[in-house]
Amino acid sequence: MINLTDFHQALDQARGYPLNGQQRQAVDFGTGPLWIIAGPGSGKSEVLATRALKLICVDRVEPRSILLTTFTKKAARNLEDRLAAYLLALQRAQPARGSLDISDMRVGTLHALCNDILQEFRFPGYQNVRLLEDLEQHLFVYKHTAIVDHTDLAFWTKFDYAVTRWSPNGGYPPNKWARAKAAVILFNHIAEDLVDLARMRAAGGHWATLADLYVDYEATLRDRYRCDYAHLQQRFWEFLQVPMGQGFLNGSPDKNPPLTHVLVDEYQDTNPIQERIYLALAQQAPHNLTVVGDDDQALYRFRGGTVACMVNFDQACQVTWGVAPQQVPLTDNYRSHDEVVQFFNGYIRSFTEMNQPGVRAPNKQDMVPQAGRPAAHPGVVWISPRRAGDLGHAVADFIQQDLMGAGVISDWSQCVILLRSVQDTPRNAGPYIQALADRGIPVYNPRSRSFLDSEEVQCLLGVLIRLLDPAQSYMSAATPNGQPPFWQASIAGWCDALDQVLTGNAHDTTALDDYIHRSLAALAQEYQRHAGRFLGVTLTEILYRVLALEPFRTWRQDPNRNLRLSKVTRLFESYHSFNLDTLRAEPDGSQVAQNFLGQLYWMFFGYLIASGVDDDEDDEVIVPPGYLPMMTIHQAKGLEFPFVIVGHLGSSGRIGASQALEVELAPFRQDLYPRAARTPDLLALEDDIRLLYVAYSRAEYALVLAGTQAQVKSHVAAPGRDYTGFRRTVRTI
Amino acid sequence: MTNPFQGLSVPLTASASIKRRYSVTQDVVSYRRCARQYGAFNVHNYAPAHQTQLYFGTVLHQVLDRCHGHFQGLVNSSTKGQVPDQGRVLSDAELQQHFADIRNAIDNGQPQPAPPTDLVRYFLEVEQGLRSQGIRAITPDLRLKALRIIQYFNALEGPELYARVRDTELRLQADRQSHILHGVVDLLVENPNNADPSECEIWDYKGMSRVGLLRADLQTYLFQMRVYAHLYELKFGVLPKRVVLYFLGELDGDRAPHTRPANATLELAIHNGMSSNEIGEAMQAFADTVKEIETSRAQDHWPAASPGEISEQDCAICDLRWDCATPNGGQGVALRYP
Repeated sequence: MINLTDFHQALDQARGYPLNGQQRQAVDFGTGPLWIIAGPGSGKSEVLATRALKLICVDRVEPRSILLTTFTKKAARNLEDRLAAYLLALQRAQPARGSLDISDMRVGTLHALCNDILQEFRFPGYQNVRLLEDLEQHLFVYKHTAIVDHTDLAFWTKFDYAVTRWSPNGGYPPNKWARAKAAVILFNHIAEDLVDLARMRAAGGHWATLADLYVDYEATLRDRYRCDYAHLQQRFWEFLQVPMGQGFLNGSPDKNPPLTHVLVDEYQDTNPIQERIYLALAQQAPHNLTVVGDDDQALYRFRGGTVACMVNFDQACQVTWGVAPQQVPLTDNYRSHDEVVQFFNGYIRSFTEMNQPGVRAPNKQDMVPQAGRPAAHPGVVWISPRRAGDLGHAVADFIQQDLMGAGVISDWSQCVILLRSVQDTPRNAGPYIQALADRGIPVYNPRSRSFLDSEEVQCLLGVLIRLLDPAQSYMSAATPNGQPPFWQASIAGWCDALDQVLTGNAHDTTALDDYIHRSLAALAQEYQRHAGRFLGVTLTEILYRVLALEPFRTWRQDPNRNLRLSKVTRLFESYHSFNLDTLRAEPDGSQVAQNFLGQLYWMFFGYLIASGVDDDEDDEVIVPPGYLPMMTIHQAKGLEFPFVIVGHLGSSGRIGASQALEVELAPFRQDLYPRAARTPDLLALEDDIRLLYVAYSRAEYALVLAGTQAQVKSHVAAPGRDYTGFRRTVRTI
Repeated sequence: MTNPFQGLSVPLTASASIKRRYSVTQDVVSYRRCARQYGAFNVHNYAPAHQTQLYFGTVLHQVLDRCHGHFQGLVNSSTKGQVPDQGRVLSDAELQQHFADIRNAIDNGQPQPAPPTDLVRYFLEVEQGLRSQGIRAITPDLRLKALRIIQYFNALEGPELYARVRDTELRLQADRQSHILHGVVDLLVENPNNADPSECEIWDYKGMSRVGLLRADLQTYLFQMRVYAHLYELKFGVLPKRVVLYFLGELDGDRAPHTRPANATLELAIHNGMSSNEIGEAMQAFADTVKEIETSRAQDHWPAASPGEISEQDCAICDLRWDCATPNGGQGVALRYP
C-alpha cells in the first residue's frame, strides 16, 4: 500500500516531471465513469498508465480486475513496458511495500482481448476458429457465400456505393470480385453497427435480401470454424450475455476476481458494438469505465468507427446506468511549436460544419501550447510551387537542403511526409518517391502497395506459373464479355521478370533452370499417374524447393527481400487454408486441372493484383533510423515528428460506403441515443477536416504544408476555407 | 529565399525500444532445437508448407483440455464431476468404422452419423477447427493413434486426475530487465487435502514417447519445467510441490494400460529433490538462449543445428531441408521435382 502523495512523488521522479492539474485530476478520479477529452500532445498515454498504476498501488485493485484497451498492439506493448518501468520505480522508492504482479492485468487491443478471453473461457463455438484477416475474409466470401452468386442487378444498384469501379448504368451486375468486396463492407458494417436483422428484414426488398444473405454468411462462418474481426466482437458480446460471460464479469472463487475497472484509449474510433461491449464490461456499479480520446481526431469511420460514441459518452452513461460521467479535459499541448498549436486550434474551430450540435464533444476547449519550442523559427510554413507536378521536387529539395543540408536535422527519420495515399502511383505518392530517389534519400514506405512489383516476388510467382501453365493459358483467358482479365498483364509481367533473371548475367541460375525443366518433365508424368486426382504436392511445398535455389538463396540474405519472400509463403498459407493449393490433374491426365488453375488466377492472384499488397511493417520501431518515412495520415495517428510535411492538400475524400451506410443503416441500428442527423456528404466533409487536423497536429518544430495555390484554394486545407487569410499569415518558402 | 530554419538544430532522440516477449516453448525451446528453423519461421515469419508436425501434439492437448472442461461442467453443467464416457475405450475397429461412416455420409450427401462417444465428438470438433488452421493429420494412422492415446489417458488418469485439476493452460511470466519470458502450463493440479499453492503440482503434456528422445531434447524439457517452477513461484510466492512431464506417447499400444507405464511421467519433486541451484541453472540456460537469440537477430545469422543435435524426424518435415546440410546425418537431402 502506498499513499497518493508518495505515489505521485515517486512517479514524478521516475518520469522526470510532474503531472499538470488536469492530468492529476484524471489520474486521481475516484469511482464512476470518467470521460477524458485529450487533445493532441496532451499526454493521454501517460495519464492512462499512471491511472492504471494508481488503481493497483494506491486503491489496491487486483490487476486481474482491470482491463485496458489500446488501439494497436504496439501501443499495448509500450504501455505494458511503461507500467513495468514505473512499478519498478515505485518499488525502489518504497522497498518495504512488497512486490506486485501486473502481468495479470488484461492489456491489449479489444480484438486481442476478446479473442483471449473467449479462448480462456472455452466459449462454445469459438474454440479453434481461424480468425480471418482481410485477405482471408475476402477469399472466404468469394469462395463460400451465397451473396457472390447473387447477380440481381436491381439489388446491387441499391448498394452501388459499396461497389468500387462499377456503375449500374452498364446494365450488368458487378463482377464476382466486386460483389465479394462489397459484401465484406456490408457484412462488417452490419455486425459492427449492431444492426437489428429483424428490422432490416421487415423493411423488405433489397434489405430483406441482404439480411438473408448476411445470415447465410454467419452460418457459413460457424460451419467452417472461421470468424472475422467484426464477428469476433459479436461473439464476445454474446459471451457477455450468457452465464459464462457473467462469470467472467462477476468473478468466481479461485478462478478470477470480478472485473471492476475498464480503461479505453482512443475512444473516438470506437464502433457501436464496441461501445456496447465497454458498457457491458463496466456493468458493475459504480461503473468504473474510463474513456480517453479526442473526437477531433476520429479517423476510422471506414472501419466502422463512429465519433458519435465519443461525442455522446455522457448520454450512453445516462441511458445505460442513469449516471453522468465526470468530464476531464486535457488541454495543455506538450508537443508542438506555439504557432502550430494556434494554427490547428483555429483550423478545427473555423468550419461552421464542425460547430453543429453533435459533431464535436460538448464544451470543447482550445489547446494551450506548453512545449516551448524555439520561437525564433516559424511553426507553420508553406511550400507552394507554381505547378502541382513540381511538388515532389520542391519537398525533396526542402528536406535535403534546408533541413539536412543546413544541419537542422541529422537523420531523415526526423521528418515525415503525410499523404492521403502512399501508393506508388503517379496520382498518389509516386512523384514524391521519385523525387526523393533522385536525391538518394532512402524512404520507408511499407504501404506503397508495391510488394508485387518487386523482382524477387515476381520471379518466385513466375516460377510457379511456368511450372503449372507452360502453355501460358493465362494469355488467352477472357471475361464473360470477351475482354482480357485485369490480372493478365501482371501475370505476364511476372513471367517476363523471371525470363530476365534466367537470361541475364547477374546470377548463376543453372540450378533453377534445371529445376524448372526437370519439374516440367516430372509433372507431365504425375498428371498421367494421377489423372483426375490430387498429386500430393502443394504450391507452398514447391515454393520452398524454389527458395533453396539461386537467385533466391542470395536474395534471402537481404533483409528486405527475405521479408517479402516470407510474405509470399504467408499469402499461400492463407490460400492453403481453403484447401485449394494441392495440385490436381485434369481427368485426361494431360495437364494440371484447369479449374485448379482458374481458381489460382481468378480468385487468388486476381485478388492480390486488384487490391495490391503492402510490405510488412516493422512491428518494433515506428521508423527505422536512416529512412525518411512516408505515411498515410491514418498511420500517423498517435505519432509525432519534428518536421511534418503534409501533401495532397487539394484532394477531398470520396463519399464512400462508410458515410452512406452510417445514414442508410440508421433505421436498423440499435442506437442507445439519438445521433445527429447528417448527410453522407457532410460526414465526408467532417472526416476530411478531422483528417487534416490530425496531420497538422503531429508536428513538433514545424508544420510544412505542400500544395499549389489552386490546391489550397479548392479544399478545406486552409482554416475556414479562407485562402486570403491563409496566404497572409502562413510564411511561404 | 532564405532558409527560415537556419540555425535550428533538432536533437535526435532515440525512441524507447519495446521489450521483446519470449515464449518458453515457441522461442527458447525452438531456438535451442535449431536456430535456422527458428529464424525462418519465428523471426522472418515464413509460413510452413505443412503444419502436420503440429497435428499430433495439438489434437492431444485440445481434446484433453475438453475432457477437463467436461469434468468441470464448463459448457454443460450436467457433466460436472463426470469422466467423459466413464472412461470407455472404443476399439480401433470401432473407431475406423465410425470414420468410414462419416466418409460415406459425406460422399452420399447424407447427414453425418452421431459420434459414438463424447471423446470422439470432442476429437472430431477439434480436428474440424484445426483443419481451418491448415493443421491436418498426415496419415489416417496418425488420427487413430491420437484418438487411441486420448481414450487410454481418459480411462487411466481421468478418474483420479480430473478432480484434482484446479486450472488448465495456466499463464505464467517473468518480467526480466531486457525481455519478458512467458509460458503456459497445461495443468495446475492440487492436493485434494490441501489447496495451498505450495502443495500444487504443475503438469505438462508431451505428445511423444520418452523412449528414443534425444538427450538434448530431454534436457531442454527438464529445463523448461524448472523454468515453469520459477515462474510459478513469481506468481504464487512459493514453488510448486512437484512438476510432472507426461509423455502421452508412452500410453500407446494394442490395449489400454491398466497402470501408468513407467516411462510415461518424469516427475521432479521440488521441495525435497531440487535445489534452488537447479532452478537457477535452468533460468540461466534460458537467459543465455535469449541472449543468443538477440545476437542472432542483431547479426541476422541463424545457423542450422549440427547433425545429431536435432532429430532426423524434425529435419524430415522441415521446409528448409532442401538447402540444409544437417539432415540425413549431415548428407543433406536431394531436391524433389517439382
